[in-house]
Amino acid sequence: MNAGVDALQRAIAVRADGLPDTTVMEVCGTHTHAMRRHGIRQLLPKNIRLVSGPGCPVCVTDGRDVARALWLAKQKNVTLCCFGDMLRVPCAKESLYALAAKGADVRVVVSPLDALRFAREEPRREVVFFGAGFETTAPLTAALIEEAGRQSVPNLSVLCVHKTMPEAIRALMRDGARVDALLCPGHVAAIAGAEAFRFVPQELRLPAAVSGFEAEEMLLGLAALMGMLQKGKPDLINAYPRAVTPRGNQTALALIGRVFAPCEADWRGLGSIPASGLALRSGYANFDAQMRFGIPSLHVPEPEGCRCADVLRGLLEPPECPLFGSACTPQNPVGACMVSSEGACAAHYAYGGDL
Amino acid sequence: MLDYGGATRRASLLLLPEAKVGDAALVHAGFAIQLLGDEEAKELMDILAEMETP
Repeated sequence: MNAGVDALQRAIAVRADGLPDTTVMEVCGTHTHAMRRHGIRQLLPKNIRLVSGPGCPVCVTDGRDVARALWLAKQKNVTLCCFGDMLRVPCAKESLYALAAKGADVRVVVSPLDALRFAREEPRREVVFFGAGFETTAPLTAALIEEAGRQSVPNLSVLCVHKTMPEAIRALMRDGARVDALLCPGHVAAIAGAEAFRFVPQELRLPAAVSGFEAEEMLLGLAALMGMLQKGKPDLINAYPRAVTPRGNQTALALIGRVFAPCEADWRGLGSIPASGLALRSGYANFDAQMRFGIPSLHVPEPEGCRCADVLRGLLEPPECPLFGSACTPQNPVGACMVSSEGACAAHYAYGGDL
Repeated sequence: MLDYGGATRRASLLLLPEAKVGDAALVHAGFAIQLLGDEEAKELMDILAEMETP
């Protein structure tokens, strides 16, 4: 075994010794995937349970918001751009992928700026970027909007369903989630700063550690959490100093502040949470696809039997869902958590048996 | 331009204007979002010990 992993596993065991049954939650899609890929849970003592929370951006995107994207993709003359893992999210038996197969112009982009390029190359088409994700992707969408404004590109707009993590964590804890410590998302913290999670020890009285995504980095974060639990002193530790500073990326945060204002947002699994979303400020309203196209509000029933909502709150392990691996697979997903590689169900399916 | 262990890709520096040639950066969806420090060169146990020193 890797010497670093071995030493950290021992450090965790020493610190976890004597603790009662303890639940650590991670709230980051990349952690959801990485902890299963690296088999992190096999390295933890029996009294320590690591669960996934609402960290996968595609998974927490509400069905009604996916429906709005589908509605746009069905409009004549609209090119809908999105990140690849949004394509196959099922929505009332449809998906962007299925619409594309029927001829809709749905394009996967690596960078939001690709949408700006399409809009400039094809000025007669309406190009819409479906902006989803947390603090890590919100500034990229903000950069797209500001660039579109600077370059006066009239045929570019954004369907904005960006979300921010702190209010969702608060809501989850208000709802009585049984969590003893929080492994905080390194990529969100690279933008927002480690201090964005100071409220976890201060308000929620839980230990928090910002962690990276390699096996050693996740174990380092977990060791830091165990140390705090053992001492009974909740604090915030930045265990990912390689990429995370206390105050984050000020250029990105200023950009978010210029383009977006906090708004109430709908989360799959968590419901509506005040001030947990980002809406375009009035100065950028002409880039808001919702306003430009007057998208009707659409009701989407959750698929029968789907337990994504419980998986996203850390209440259910993927194999405990009756659909897991039978009716719901990555090839034919029923619920959103089986779609993205950052979804708990897809990751469990790919690397299963890590418990 | 970035070197990903051999592969070369473009990334926007709109969010990281301070980046210079030769820097290592964390890249997310086509944007450099943060400079990467050299803490990985340190022993993990040193980092843990440091974190736990109040």
